[in-house]
Amino acid sequence: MKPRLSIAIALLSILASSASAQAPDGEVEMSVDRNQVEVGGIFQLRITATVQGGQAQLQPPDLAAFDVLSRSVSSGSVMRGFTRESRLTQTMQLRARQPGAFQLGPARIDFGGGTTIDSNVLQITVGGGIQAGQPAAQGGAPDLPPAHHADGMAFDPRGFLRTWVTDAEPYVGQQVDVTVYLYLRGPLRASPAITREATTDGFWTRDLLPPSRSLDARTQTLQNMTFQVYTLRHVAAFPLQAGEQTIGAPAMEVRNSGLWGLLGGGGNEPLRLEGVPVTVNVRPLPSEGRPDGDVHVGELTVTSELDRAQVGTGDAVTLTVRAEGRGAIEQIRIPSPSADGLRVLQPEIRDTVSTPGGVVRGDRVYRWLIVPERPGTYTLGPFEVPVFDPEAERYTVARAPALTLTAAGNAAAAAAEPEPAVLEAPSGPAPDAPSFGPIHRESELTRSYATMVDRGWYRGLLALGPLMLLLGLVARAWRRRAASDDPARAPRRARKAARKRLAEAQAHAAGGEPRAFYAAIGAALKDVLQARLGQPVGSLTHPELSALLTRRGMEPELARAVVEELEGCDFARFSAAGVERAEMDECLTRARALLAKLDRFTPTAEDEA
Amino acid sequence: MRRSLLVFALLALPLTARADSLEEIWDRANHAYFQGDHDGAADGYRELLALGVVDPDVAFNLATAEARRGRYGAAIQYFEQALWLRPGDEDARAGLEAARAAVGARRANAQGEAEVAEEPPLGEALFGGTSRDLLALLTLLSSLGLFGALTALLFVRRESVRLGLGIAAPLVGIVLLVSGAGMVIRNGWLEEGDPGVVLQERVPLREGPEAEASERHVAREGQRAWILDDGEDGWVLVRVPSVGEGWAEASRIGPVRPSGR
Repeated sequence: MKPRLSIAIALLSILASSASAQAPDGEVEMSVDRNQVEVGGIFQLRITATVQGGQAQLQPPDLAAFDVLSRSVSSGSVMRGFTRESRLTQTMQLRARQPGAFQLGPARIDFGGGTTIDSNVLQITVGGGIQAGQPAAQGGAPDLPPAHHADGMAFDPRGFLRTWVTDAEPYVGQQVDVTVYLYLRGPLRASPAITREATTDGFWTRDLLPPSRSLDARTQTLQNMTFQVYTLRHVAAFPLQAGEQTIGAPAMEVRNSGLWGLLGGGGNEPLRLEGVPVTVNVRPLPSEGRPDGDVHVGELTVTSELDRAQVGTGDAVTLTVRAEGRGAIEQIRIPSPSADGLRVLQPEIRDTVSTPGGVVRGDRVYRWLIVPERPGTYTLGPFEVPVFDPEAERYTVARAPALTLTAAGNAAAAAAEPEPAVLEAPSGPAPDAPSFGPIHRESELTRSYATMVDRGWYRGLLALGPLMLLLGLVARAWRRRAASDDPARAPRRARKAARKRLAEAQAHAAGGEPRAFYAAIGAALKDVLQARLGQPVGSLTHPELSALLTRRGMEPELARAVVEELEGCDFARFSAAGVERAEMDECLTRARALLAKLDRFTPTAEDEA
Repeated sequence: MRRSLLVFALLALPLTARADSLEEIWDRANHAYFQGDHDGAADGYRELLALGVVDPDVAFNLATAEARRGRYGAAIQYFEQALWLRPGDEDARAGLEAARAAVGARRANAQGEAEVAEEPPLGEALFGGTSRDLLALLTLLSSLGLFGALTALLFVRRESVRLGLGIAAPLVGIVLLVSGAGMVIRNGWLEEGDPGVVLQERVPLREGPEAEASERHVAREGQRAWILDDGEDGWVLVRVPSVGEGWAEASRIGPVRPSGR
């Protein structure tokens, strides 16, 4: 017993120790949605920390070089085996404050006691800033136009509108800034009402002012009169075709009450202001050295990548081509790749455009799903976009080198659909949620949901255990009760069996078969004993039987007589050669007497004994 | 013979037609998703639910489509449903975490700071990743084992066997206790109501089931809400942990468990 117990205790100890002795562990990772931004540009930093089996503090990296616009923390926990795993995601919107290359991180999880885990380190490049000759940064007011020019305005000493264009002779596709100013002699006391916008037909435009802002005045002296100058519109305009293009004259009403209105003689009448149209002479791109295709004006770099270079036939890969630079990014067209044996689906196009320093720049990303329908090696690209630099007045070609795709396996059915994992592309209205999906392609479309617990048979089987125990208890109680019955209620079957055995014994005696005779006598006695005691006695030795009978309340003399008779029967069975008939008759008589006494014997219960 | 075949074919026809129809809706919804039509995809998956489909893949896809639409409360609801139907689904767990993070990010964008914490109760944390069928099977087997051992102890006389049964019975009893507790927790037999999720960013919890009733509390998108009373006329009585109890419009609280559970 002791060795078995010790093994069981050792097993339990191992189980317990495995549950409690796990040291805390974890990991922390940082990611950004982009690692190149301009001054004033906004990007998202996400820190994901996972801690197993302990408590830890998350220390974000030093963010001194950035403005933290918002911060959110999401946390949760699950049990993995015996270990609690806590996850924490911290998401921050950061704004770049100054140009330069910045190292972000590491973030750190601190378990206390000097145990820490560091994250990866990120490199953020902040470019741009205000360059010479460029307007002020996004959100800031552009420089005022020169006072000595009278372009774009119809001077009025009470006030006037002025449209200013930074370059009157741009190339097709070159950015020019168009700004509409309101000149007033006094401060603006109410919001002006624009009755006609400055039209920009023939231009692709992008607003350079933030959607919500306040009208702040600056002062400028024109013709010896000091004006309050308000910036009403400030857009980047890209001429779409060569020739004279006109920016229409804006119009507005200014209702200024108060002293200035009275002094101005206008009373409560609104001041109606009319601007003048401004003509821009758009130059065509130089024909000398002009490459074929649509030319992008500005700066551009093109990169390309495949998510997998080797793929099974019928599987889809994602080809991504990114054009990044300055200019009318959203006008860039990149032709779809094609090759015999490739099925190229319609591309997904995403544009990210910002206006740091008043310069329109950003990237345009094309994503194609490509399904090789036959095995082989395919060349995708190169991807080229001709670029004209208006400052240097020369052409270049932005080029991403060709990519090689190898498809292996049997030819796929033409209608094979691409794998869902590849079809998944970051799209949708939530730019901060790129990690959703892919969706599942297969489903059993189950219409009924039932667990094992809901099944009828389960409850029946669950009740079986307690029922089994209950039946066992009843059976044991019945046996005890049977064992404690009085002689009158002794099992009739046992008595009948005993009488039958005695009759058989008599027949064996008459037939001269002493072995069979004594065996029948012994069996008759044991049957009656078993029926009276309610338990088997066949396996007991004679001393054990004697002790049992005494324990169960039998008179010692009777017990001794019974055991001696059984001993005599056993002895005679194995040495029955010379047994006389008279001896057998005497034995039969003694057995009958003993059975009669046993019929009157009432055993006590084992517990009572 | 021919007549019996005809009867069989007629009986089988509605079933086949229905199965095809579900498959078609599923394919259509998936196709819409891949085309970027997340509204159409979500409509398709909801149609499947309305037809009585109770399936973790449908719940997962619907959650993903809702997340793509920016409806993170609904996304959380169906990610939780997917996890309830298929515990331990890592895709659904990752989606749930991403949806909660997205709720936090959106709130932070509006307010500057936001914290979204979802700490499940210990019982749910312990057994949340274990399937109800596994717990039920363990409970059944350990119950049979324990009671079988106890019953055998009543009759067996042999000492070595009795010793073995005496060691096994308490161990099996511990397994029965743990798996039984897990089964009770996982089936929500001790919960105060049905679990739900707040679907919108600002859901007033009112004194009574009517729009004119005064506002007691305000629940936020993605929070767990216990549905205490289904009420009538489109209102439910809910308790939102760490917020409070009150009546909310039923359309603003999404039940996690499929209807009929």
